[in-house]
Amino acid sequence: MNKRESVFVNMSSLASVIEEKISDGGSVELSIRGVSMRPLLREGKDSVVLSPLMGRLKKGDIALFRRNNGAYVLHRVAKVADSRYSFVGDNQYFLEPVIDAQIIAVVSAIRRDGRLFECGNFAYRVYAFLWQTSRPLRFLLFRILRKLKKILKIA
Amino acid sequence: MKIKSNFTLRNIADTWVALPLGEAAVDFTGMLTLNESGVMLWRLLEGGSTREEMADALLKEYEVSYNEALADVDAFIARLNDAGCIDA
Repeated sequence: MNKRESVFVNMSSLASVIEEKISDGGSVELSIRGVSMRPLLREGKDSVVLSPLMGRLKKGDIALFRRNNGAYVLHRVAKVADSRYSFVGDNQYFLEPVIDAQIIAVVSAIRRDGRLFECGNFAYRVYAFLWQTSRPLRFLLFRILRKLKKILKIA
Repeated sequence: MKIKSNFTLRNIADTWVALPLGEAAVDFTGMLTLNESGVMLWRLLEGGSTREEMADALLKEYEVSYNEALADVDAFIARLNDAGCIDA
């Protein structure tokens, strides 16, 4: 009797409901689309719980923000400055400047393979710290991987 | 028996969903969606209709027997109850 079907909805349809929920002090769970937050967040497998932001974001937080072109993005805070942040996806290395007004909500928990991990969880904080520190290496890593792919195609 | 006052129906991307208001958490990865007749029955429940009145409403729209309609209403109410939308 309980059939579960997947409905894919784009963020612009959900955005007003999400923002309303967040401003009411509630939280929202969303499933992941895209690859920019791999390996932590995988499309079709994982979801995040978004909660209202109290004060400012900290380095390592994952947050939902709205780009000036209207796109909604879920990335990690790499740097915090007085009046803005620098964001980057876990699977990326270029920093994106974002101001406070663009921030919608912060990720308070991650559901991975059905298990819920609060962002205060120690193992998660270790991962976040290590992954942050690896950002300069990612540039090198991606270059190496690209070269490898070229070589493997020829071979 | 009524819909809980902190639940509302919203239309998101052409789909009617049951949404908890205020501070309650919303799980978009598992939401209760309603089709046309579901929305109609929900509205009746919001107004405090009895299950018999709801069955009558179904009879006006669909060619089913009264007993079938009652069974459908009961199933609908049970589903809403499971989702925590009903004040018994």
